[in-house]
Amino acid sequence: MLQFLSRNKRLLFLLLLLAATLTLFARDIRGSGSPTFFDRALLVLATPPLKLTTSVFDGVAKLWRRYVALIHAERENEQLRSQRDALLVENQLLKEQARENQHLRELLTFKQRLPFRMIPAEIIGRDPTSWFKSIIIDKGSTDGVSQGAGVITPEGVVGRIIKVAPSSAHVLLLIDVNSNIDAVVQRSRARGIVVGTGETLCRLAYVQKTENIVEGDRVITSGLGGIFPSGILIGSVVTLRHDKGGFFQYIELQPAVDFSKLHEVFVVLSDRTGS
Amino acid sequence: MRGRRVVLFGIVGIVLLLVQMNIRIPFGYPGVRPDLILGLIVALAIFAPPWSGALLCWIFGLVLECLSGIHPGMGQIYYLVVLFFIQLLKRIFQFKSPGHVFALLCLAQVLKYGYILFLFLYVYEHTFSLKTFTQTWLFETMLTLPTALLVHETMSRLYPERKEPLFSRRLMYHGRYSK
Repeated sequence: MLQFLSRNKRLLFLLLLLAATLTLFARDIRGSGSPTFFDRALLVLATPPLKLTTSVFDGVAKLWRRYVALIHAERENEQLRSQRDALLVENQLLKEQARENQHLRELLTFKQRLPFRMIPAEIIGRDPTSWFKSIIIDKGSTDGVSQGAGVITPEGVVGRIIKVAPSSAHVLLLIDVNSNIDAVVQRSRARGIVVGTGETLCRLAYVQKTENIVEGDRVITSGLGGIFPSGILIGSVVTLRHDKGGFFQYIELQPAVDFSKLHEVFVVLSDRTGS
Repeated sequence: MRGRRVVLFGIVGIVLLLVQMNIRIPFGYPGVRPDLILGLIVALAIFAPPWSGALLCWIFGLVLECLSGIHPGMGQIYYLVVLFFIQLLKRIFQFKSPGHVFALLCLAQVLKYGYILFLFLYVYEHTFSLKTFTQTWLFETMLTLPTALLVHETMSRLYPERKEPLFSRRLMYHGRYSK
């Protein structure tokens, strides 16, 4: 037996790797999508380096935006007056601060306006692949975040939590191919499911041909499913088609959130007002 | 020495993953990024010992799937297939120049297209448009080929080319490489 094992150890190693991979594969196809201990452990381990790299990347971007661009402006202005340079720098910094102030005020107003408990979170990582759309945020189970919780911004729906670690969580974005959200057309109250397509637009599926939908209609969350409170904006209808076959309309939505510019989000903790 | 190099591959892999998660491409398709790990996998297939290379490949796939919305098993299978395929080709061809590595990377990207398309269409039955899928793949390939080549070339510096054992024996017995 031992001889057989030592003679075929390479083959056995390969079989072991394949078996482990197929087990993971089968587990996913069966639909038991809850994160494993390994998933959570890895997310815990990845959080500090992710925060560090995000701050480094943000720092470089900020440096580029605030200073390198200004050096370029300074070069142009050197020919005019040196005093003007200093004023330009100051003006730019003040404008940036004003913009930041305005943004924070909007976030605060948004948080106070809605009747459910939310916590703000920052994005510390994005999906490393091109095929799936997800982000990692800096709030986790110690902050009260649980799996399946909805994630929103003042503009609209962002996605939902799929994995939670103590100090970070993984968010599946609305535009990911695995995303499905129960929705309602605000004007006609027609119901459907918003499905991600992996690109910038989403699809509103299972809307019957008899329903009255027009381009520009706003689509909001229905509140069914318990992930999102009802009435949160998902997007607006941009393409509408009535194909000959089938029962349903072909509807494309432009998400309300610009996912390429996401920095801060809110995690919906519960639908109760108060504490 | 060999173990230390494998550990180095692991560390480089983790750094590349972190960079891949934070990199933002200001043009093209939103969210599309280069597959930096692919360059490392090709380097592993060419330079690293086969079994430790396979294990590292598997670990990279696993870490990638944990940090992404990717389906379990997808990353591992793809990277292992690329690794074994290149190791198989290595028995017939020699991959020494950057041109050869570029061809291998192209082949790996073609494999990726077929593999992900198959999974999306027949295993997970996702809603997606083939046109967007192809454009995403093309843009990713455009970003991946130069960056992965750079990663491979950097890693290849760690593995100086070895003389064939037969040549070494010839040198020992005859004092020269040729007969």
